[in-house]
Amino acid sequence: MTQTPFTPCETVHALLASADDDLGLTSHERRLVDDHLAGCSACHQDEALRRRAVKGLAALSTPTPDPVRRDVLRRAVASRSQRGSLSGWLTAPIPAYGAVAAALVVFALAGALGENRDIPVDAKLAAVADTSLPAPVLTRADSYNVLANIRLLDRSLNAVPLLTDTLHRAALPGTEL
Amino acid sequence: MRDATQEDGDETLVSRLWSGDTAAFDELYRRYSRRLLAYVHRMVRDEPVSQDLLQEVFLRLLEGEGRYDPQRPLARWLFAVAHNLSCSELRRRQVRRQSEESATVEARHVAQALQPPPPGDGLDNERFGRRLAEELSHLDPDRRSAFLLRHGEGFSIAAISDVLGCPPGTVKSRIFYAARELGERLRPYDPAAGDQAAPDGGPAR
Repeated sequence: MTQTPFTPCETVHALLASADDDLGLTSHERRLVDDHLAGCSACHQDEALRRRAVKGLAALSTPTPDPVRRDVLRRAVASRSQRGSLSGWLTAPIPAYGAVAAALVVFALAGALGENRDIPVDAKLAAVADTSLPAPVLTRADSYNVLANIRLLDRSLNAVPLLTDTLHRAALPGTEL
Repeated sequence: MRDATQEDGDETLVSRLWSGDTAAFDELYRRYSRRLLAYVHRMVRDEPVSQDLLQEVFLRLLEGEGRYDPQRPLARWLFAVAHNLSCSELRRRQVRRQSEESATVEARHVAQALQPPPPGDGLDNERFGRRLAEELSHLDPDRRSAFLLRHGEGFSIAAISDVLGCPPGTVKSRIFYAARELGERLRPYDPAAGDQAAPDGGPAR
């Protein structure tokens, strides 16, 4: 299979793509580009538009990083230094783990033998959640903060990443992230 | 703990970030947050989503201990993450759009975008900028990202190749086609078009 040779226009476009305006081209390449642009109206206009688009990029408005999200991240960073004290648990002597395990077994047995075991699930739920109260009204900003914190908590528990959009729709139906 | 300074290298700051140094975080955030936000915002064109993605990039960095290679420049790593997240968001959006929006609305939107301005309608730089943002969003995401990294962020071809995970030749080709496509789409909206007389006096293409 034979390769189609580059046309002068393609060669010039490739050179311009790899050049930073006048920088990055050798003097020979620069002359090649200039000679071509001087004689080819199509490439001349393309190059003018390319330069304009590049200039326009710099002038495009861009948002400022959200300070609330920044603070959430900052807290996440700070929590890493506190993890040092948590890691002390990991190096605790084996008897300490034994004591914790024994305590958990005692609690589990107490729960299983306790008098609540025949209470229906619905009744247990009603005891902890008052469903007669109206649902809280969340603003858009609230939802972002809640989501950011949920995601951080989620990460710290090594769970599967949560679906931001799904959560958002649940919190604020009818709005887009 | 010593305060992070502007002289500290990215690698030093990253290792201090992983040990919970908030000053190192502040410095890294100062260096990269605006650039990353500008990039993802131009990719996805939705401010709240862009803010989410920026946060996600820094979360990935925070969790990247063991995965981030200190030999690789941090900027490339961060932009690669930002690029992947942006592309995922665009794919999600496309799926959502296909399932939620009617074809008529989309067709009307495209027709409006392609509609040239009426004759005599004065165009200024601000309107050109808006049109540029609009046309950027119609570019293929791979081409758009190559164009933005090259001309928005000033990355070298080699760096873009690293960020996007494709050969330098592909990067050049994407930049070339992006510039050409943008040029063609923007031609009717260019406020300086009247000044751009063809050098040989011939008709514009």
